[in-house]
Amino acid sequence: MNLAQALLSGLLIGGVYGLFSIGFSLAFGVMRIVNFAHGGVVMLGMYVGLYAFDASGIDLLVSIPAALIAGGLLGATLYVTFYARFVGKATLQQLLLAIALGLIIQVLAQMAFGPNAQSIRSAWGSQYLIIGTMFASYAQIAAFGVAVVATLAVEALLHGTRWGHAVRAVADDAEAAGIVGLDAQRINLGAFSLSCALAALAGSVLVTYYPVSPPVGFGLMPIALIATVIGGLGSVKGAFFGGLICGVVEQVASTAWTPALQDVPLYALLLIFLAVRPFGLFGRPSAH
Amino acid sequence: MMTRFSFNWIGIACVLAVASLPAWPFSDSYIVAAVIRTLIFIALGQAWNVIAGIGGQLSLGHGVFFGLGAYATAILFNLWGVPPWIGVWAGMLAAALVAVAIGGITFRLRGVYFALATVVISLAFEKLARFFVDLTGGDAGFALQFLGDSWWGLQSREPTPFLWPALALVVGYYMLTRWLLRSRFGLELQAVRDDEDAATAAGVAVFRTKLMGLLLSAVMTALVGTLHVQFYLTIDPGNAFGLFQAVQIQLPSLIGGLGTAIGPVLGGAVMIIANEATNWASSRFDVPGLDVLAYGGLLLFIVIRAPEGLSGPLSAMLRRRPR
Amino acid sequence: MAAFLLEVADVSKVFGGLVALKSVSFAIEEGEVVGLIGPNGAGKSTLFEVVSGGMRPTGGTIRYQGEDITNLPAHLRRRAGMSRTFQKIRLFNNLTVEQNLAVAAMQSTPAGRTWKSEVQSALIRLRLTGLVDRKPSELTLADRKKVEIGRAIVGHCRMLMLDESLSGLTRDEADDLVGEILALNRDLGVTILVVEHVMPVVMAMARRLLVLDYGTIIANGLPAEVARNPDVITAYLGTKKGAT
Repeated sequence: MNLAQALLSGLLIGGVYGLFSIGFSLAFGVMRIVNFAHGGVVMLGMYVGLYAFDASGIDLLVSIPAALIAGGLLGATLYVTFYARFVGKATLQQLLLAIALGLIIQVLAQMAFGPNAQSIRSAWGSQYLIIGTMFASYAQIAAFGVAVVATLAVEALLHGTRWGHAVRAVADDAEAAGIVGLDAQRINLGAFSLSCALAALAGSVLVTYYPVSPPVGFGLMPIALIATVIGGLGSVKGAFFGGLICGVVEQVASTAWTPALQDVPLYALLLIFLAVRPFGLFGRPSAH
Repeated sequence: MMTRFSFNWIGIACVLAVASLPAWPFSDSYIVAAVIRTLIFIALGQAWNVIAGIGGQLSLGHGVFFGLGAYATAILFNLWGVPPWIGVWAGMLAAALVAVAIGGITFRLRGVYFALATVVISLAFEKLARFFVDLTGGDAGFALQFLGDSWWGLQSREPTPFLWPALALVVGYYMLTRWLLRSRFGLELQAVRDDEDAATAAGVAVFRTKLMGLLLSAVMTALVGTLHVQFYLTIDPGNAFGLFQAVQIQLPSLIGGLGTAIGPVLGGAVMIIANEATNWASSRFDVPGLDVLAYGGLLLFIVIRAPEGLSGPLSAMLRRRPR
Repeated sequence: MAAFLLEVADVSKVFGGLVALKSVSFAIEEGEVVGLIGPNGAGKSTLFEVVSGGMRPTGGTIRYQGEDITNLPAHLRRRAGMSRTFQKIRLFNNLTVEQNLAVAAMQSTPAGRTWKSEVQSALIRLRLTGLVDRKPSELTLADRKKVEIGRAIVGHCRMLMLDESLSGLTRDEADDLVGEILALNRDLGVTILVVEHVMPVVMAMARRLLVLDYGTIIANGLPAEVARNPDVITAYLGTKKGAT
């Protein structure tokens, strides 16, 4: 394995990391919710992808809308039942609530789908595009493509639509947004559903080449945390680039060092960012 | 006055009952061991409560300090024959150094950064512990060389000798917490927990206060780690640094009452009962993950329905009791 | 040179590209009661934060008791006797009234006195002795404001900075609190800087007014003079300046 291959693989998986980090960052940026259950939603999205494939045999075309809808509905339910009362303050209780939900989602998934890792045997998951000495599976490329398109769509949604402006207004100052007549609760509900829909979408494309098991959810959380902080807590494009950086660093570390410790440089990267640039690449330094 | 008087007597009676447990007619080594497990569990909760409950800084990585205490003692003992009496200091020192590093980086920032950093630090330690097999035993864990009954090695064939140090630790931590809640340092920690800006405006050195709180909590946790490894004779990466361990450390204070002295003690005792019940249930119904589900459900219930934990309603009840 | 307690010299503050303060200079003598007023968005809060230590200025210097404190951390300013309150009351909600004051007293009790006696005298002065064991959530708004002021003056306090302390109070409560504040100045010699955007309140309290508009001081003088100043009137009527 050479360095160029590691860069390519890192970039491809980094796109998917970026996609689920966007959702995580969105929930934090708009509602100050640190959703430790976000990885659990990604994991459920992976199962949606898996079963959609089993049912239809056509992976992405069916799994993408199914995952988006399932994730959005789950997000809406979680928001109304649990998170609504914690909007605006990332308190100890809110973090613990999210961890509890993550644990519960994991156990329920284990009861429903079993503890073993499962993967899709798709026709094009095992077909590779070969470019010189490098290669990438079609599934990886398709997943990356979906991630890029979805990220651009979310950016367009936030910056180009009335709803997006409302979301950003609530994120800036929920109280002021309320004064000018925006219904913050409804906007939050939409934003949180979108956050979870993106998580499930990321899961449904990730499963085309990455095996799923219940613990995968918590396993992915550090990536979301790190990508989001590197990009700037609350920034959508920051989270995407943070995801790309995570993917590349991880794959390069895996090639140049050892796969067992591929994530350790990421942890170091997070600490470096916290020490010297806590507002991340795209965040704004706060007044304090 | 009446209530404090009776509360203290109940406490002393409980301590005496536990201390004299081996002499009781129905007691056997299984029961004694179960009580020791509970005491270790409570002590961990008490240590976490110092920074999270009193200082308001949510550490999701206290397993790091626990694991450092356990691993430092165990590695020094097995590889170089250093007795745990000295190893415990190495563990506490290592925990202190890591606490200063994490706190130094994140405590100048506010909000969630500290919590995020602790998650990542504990994952890093877990990965490293799994990887450096020669030093840590890797995934399988690390087993202390067993010497039989030994003062020098702080080991025993029977659980009973561990009962009193474990009890002393819990009582000591309880007294420490009570003192802390009224002391200058403790008031500063609570002020920082309630409002950092207001604490600054009152003249409190916020950064230093958080750092000292974490330091104290980390050292307390490492000490329990040493006791844990001497008692169980084994430690593994998941047990030391894993997420589930981090959640377990939080539960006693959450159930009993965050930021109170009695909370972790009460909560730990309740937890163990719940724990025995789920163990029994999972052995009977063979549903894997039932314990995790129970913990998750419990956590959910407390956060939503009883954020004050048990000690709130309990102390209100005692206060209201007619004399 | 006259001994000013506080000297703000050429202070500016820029957020991103936005200039919140440009070259602000003024000085306050020991024992004065000074009002800082200005329309919304004039930079009052920024100036307040810069002086109390919540923010560092982009340029300029701040001197207190003759010493440069521009880069002194906020908690050390408090220990040096420079106290503040918050626009939206901020108390330690899980501590009692007495403990709220004790935390501050422990940081800045002068040698030779005890923090307990400092807390006691502040409680007596503000007539809070009946509420010592209460939590802030059990108090009225007026009492919570008093607790916050108590926390600010307990121990060593030479200068008290109040950020819109009277908002939300009834007329009687506000009059009462103004009385307490002026008594602090009269009895203890505490220098007072009040930030307000409601003119009548500050006119009644302050013996000198500073008017801030678009990040600069546009007037500085006796309340009656300031009220007649055409620039001040324009600023308050909201006419756009420099839009020619």
